Amino acid sequence: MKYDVIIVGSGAGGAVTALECAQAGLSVLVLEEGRRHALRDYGKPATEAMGALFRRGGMTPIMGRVPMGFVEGMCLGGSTEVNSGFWCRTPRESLLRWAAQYQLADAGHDALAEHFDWAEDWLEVARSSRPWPRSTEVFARGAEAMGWSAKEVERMARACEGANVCPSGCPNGAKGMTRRVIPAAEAAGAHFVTGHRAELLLTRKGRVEGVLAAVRREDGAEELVRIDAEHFYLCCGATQTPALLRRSGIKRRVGNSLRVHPMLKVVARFPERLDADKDVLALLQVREFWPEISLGGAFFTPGHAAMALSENWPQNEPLMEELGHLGAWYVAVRGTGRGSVRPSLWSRRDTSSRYDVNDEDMRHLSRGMARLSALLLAAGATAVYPGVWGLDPITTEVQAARWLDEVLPRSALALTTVHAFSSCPMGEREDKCPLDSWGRVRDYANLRVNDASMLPDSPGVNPQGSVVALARRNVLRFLEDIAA
Amino acid sequence: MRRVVLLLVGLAISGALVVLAVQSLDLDVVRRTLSEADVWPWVPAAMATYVLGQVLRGWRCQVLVKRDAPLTLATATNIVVVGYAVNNIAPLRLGEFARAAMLSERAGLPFAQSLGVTFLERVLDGLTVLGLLVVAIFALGDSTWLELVAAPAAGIFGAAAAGVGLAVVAPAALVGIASRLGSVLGRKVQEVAIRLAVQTTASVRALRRPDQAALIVALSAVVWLVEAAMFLLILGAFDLPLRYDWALLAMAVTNLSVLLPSSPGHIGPFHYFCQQAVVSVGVAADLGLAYAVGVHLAFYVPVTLWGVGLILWYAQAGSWRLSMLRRAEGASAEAASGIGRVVAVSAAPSVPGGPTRFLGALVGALIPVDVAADAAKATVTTRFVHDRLADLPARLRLLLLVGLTGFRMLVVLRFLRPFESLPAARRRSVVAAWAYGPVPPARALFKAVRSTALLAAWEQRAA
Repeated sequence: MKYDVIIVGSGAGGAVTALECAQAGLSVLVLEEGRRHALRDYGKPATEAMGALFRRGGMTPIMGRVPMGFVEGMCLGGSTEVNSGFWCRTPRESLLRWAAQYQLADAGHDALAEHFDWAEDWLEVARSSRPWPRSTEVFARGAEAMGWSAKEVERMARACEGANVCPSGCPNGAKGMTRRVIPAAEAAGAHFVTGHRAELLLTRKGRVEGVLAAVRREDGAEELVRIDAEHFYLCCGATQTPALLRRSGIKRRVGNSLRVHPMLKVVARFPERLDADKDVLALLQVREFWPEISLGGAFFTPGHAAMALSENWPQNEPLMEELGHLGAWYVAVRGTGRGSVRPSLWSRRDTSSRYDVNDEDMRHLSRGMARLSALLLAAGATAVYPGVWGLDPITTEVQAARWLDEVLPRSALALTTVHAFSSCPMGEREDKCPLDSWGRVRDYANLRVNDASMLPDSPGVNPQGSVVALARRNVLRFLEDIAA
Repeated sequence: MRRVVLLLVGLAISGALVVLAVQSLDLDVVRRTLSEADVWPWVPAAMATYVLGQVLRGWRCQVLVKRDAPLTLATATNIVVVGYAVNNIAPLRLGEFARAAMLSERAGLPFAQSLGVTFLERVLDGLTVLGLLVVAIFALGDSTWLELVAAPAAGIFGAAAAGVGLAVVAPAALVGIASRLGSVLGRKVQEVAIRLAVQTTASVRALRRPDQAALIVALSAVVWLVEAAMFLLILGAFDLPLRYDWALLAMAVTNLSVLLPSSPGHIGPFHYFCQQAVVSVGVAADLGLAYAVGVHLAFYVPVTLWGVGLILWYAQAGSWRLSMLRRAEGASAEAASGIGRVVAVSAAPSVPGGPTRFLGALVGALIPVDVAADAAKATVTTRFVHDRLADLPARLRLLLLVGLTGFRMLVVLRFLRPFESLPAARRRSVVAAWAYGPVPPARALFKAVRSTALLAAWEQRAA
C-alpha cells in the first residue's frame, strides 16, 4: 500500500497537517515515535512521567557556552501534551521581520488571521474561566506597582481544572490537540501509528520515495519497516526534523540556525501563602519589554522548586520548609544567538544540539532578572532567589536594579528552555532558508516541513500558536497545489 | 587522462628533487645525523606546535563560515586536518577537495561555496607565507630566494588575491560576468553559472566585515608564525642555532615550494627546498637534508594519523546510512502491522543495568536526610537518577563517566577510601564541595545528578 501523505510527528504541526489532509480525502499515515496514552496514565509524578512522555526522559540538553536544559514531548500529541498550552498569535513585528529578512511570502498579519481564527476555534483557545491562582494575583500586583503592561495569556486548555500537572499530561483531558484535533483527524481517516521512529528518508532524483521506520516491539526488539507515499511531511520538532533530514543526506542549510528562548527561573518567597504547588502556574505575562524580554510564571511543584533553587542549594534548602509561601517565575529572552542541530556521530539515536548564548542574550537575561526581581519585591516578596550560582537572595529593589547595568556571569547561570525553533527556516532567501515560503524542502518536490523548525526566527512569544497557524497555511497551499 | 599526466608529472618532479637533494651527499652521514638527533624535547614540542597551528587554522575556518553555519572549533579543526591528511596520502592535492567536501557536508553549505572557502584559505596562506618570506629575506640580508621563489609566488598569489578582492568588493560584477558568459551557452547553463557565481562570491562574505577580515588576516599570520616555530624547534633537535629568521626562511621557502606538483606528502619538493633554505644560511648539505627529513616527519606524522583517524570515524558514522539504504533496497513485499513492508529485524532488546552502589551513595549525599533514610524513597530516587543518566546522549554519558571516575579517584587519594565507604556526613560535604562549589566544571559535572536527584526526592517527599 502506498499512502498519499506520510507525516512524521503528531505534535502542533503534525496533527493539524493530518487533519487537513485527511479532511481533503487523502490517505494519511502519521508516524509517532512516542506512545498513545490514556487519560488515566496522565498526571503521574515526574519520576514516572518523564520517562514515559518526554524524549529521552527529558535529558536532551542544548549544549554551548551555557548548557541549557531542554525538554520536548514524545508521545501522541507531541509537546502539546506536556506544555501549559499557552497560546499567542505571531506579533505583527515578527512577521514583518520575517518578510524583510527571509523574504517569507504571503505570511502577513492579515494572511494568517484566518488560520489563527481556525486554530483558536478548534483548540478552544481561551482565557481561564477559573479565579486566578494566588501566584497570578501577586504577579499582577507587582506589574501594577511597577506600572508595566501585563496580560493574561490565553491557553489551549479550556477544560483546565488547575491540577498543576501540565508536564505530566492532563488527566482531565484539557489539552486541545488530543482532545479535538487528533480525534477529528482519525475520524476523517488519518491513521496514527505510535512507537514508530522515522530513521531515514529514502530519496531518489529529487523525490522522497519512502521512509524507513524502526518499530519497537513489546519485547523491546526493533524491526525496520519501509513505508512509501506520494508526499512527506516532517513535523518532528526543531531538533528531530533537521536530524532526520541530515541523516537522510539532505543537508543544504539544514540545522544551521537553531534558535531558542533562553529562560532563567527565580523563586520568590512571600509572607502570605501562595500554595503555588496546588494550582495552575501563574497565567500573567509582562509584555512591557517585549520582544526582547518576557516575564511570566513557571511550573511549580516541590521537585521543580528544589531544582530551581539548586544552584545555591546549601543556602536555599531550608526554604523548602516554607513551600506554601514560594512561587516560581521566569525571565525569557528572544534569543538572538544562533545554534545548530546535527545527528550525533556517537550514536544514531542521539542528536547534537548547540546554541551559543551571546552577549546580547546575556544583557537581556540580566536586565530581565533585575526587572522580574523588582516586580516580585514590589508585589510584597521578602526575597527573590535567582537560579544563578553564588548570587545572594535579592531582598530590595535597589539590589535588583544592579543587574540593569551589570551582566550576570555566564558560568554561574542555570538556563532552561522549552522553546526551540528555526532550525530549518522557510523563506525565499536561498542563502538562509532550506525551505521555500510554504515549507517545501528545496530540491525535493514532495518533501515538506511543518513544525517549529520552519519558523524563520524567534517569534518573541510562545511559538505554539505560530506553528499551528503556519502549518495550516502551508498544508492548505499544498492541498491547493495537488488539486491543481 | 589529464589527471594521469598531472600525477605522472608530480611523481617525476618529486623523484627529480629527491635526486637533487641527495646527490653528492654521503647518505650514511645523513642517516647518522638523523639517528643522533635530540628527539626530546624538540620533536614532541614541534609536533605539539604543529597541532596548535591546526587548531588556529580551524578557528580561521570557523570565522570564514560563521555567517552561514555555526561550526564548532573542533569540527572546523577536523575539517582542516582531514584536508591536510588527504594531501599527505593522496596525489593531485585531493586534500583541498576533501576539505571542501567535508566542509560542505558538516556545514550544510553548497559545494561551490565550500570550495571557494578552501580556495580563499589557501590564498590567504600563500600571501601570508610570501609576506613572511620577504621578512626573512630582509632579516637575513640574502636575496637569493627573492627571484627563485618569492617572485613567481607573488605572481600566482597576486592574481588569486585580485580575484578574491573583486569577489569581496564587487560580487554583483562577477555574477554579471558569469551570467553573460553563461548566456552564450543557453538558459540552463546561464542559470547554473549564476548560481555558482553567487555561491562562490558568498565564500568571501566574511571579508566584507572589517572586524572579521582583520581577525582572519591576524589568524593567518599567527598560523604561519606558529608553523615557523615548529621549524625552529626542529633546529634545536639537530643542535643548530635557534634562530627564528632561519626558521622563518625555511618555513616560507618550503611551503611555497609545495605548490609544485609532487607526490603525496610533497616528498621531494619539501625536502629539497627545505634543505636548500638552511644550506643558504650556512648549514652543511647533509645536515640540511637531515633537518628537512626531521621537519617533514614532525609535520607529516601527527596530522596524517589524526586525519586518517577522523576519516575512519566519519566513515563508520556514515556507513550506518549506507547499510540502511541497502536494506531498504532489498525490502520484501511482506505486509506487516498493516502499514508497510518489513525489511529486517534489526536489534535485540536492550537490557538496562541497575544503579551501582556508588550512584546510590552519591544520590544519598544529595537528597534530604529523611528521604535518604527511607529505603523505599531512596531506591525510587536512585533508580530515577540512574534511568535519566542512562537517557543522556552517549557523548555526555561518556563525559559524565570520565568526570565521576576522576571524582572517585580523587576521593580515594584524599581519604584513602572509596566514596561509598565514607561516613554519610563526609559524603555530603565532599559532594557539596563539588556540586555547589566555586569550580564551574565541577558544578557542571554534578548538575545532571543533583537536579534529577532533587527533583525525584522532593516529589517523593511530597507524595
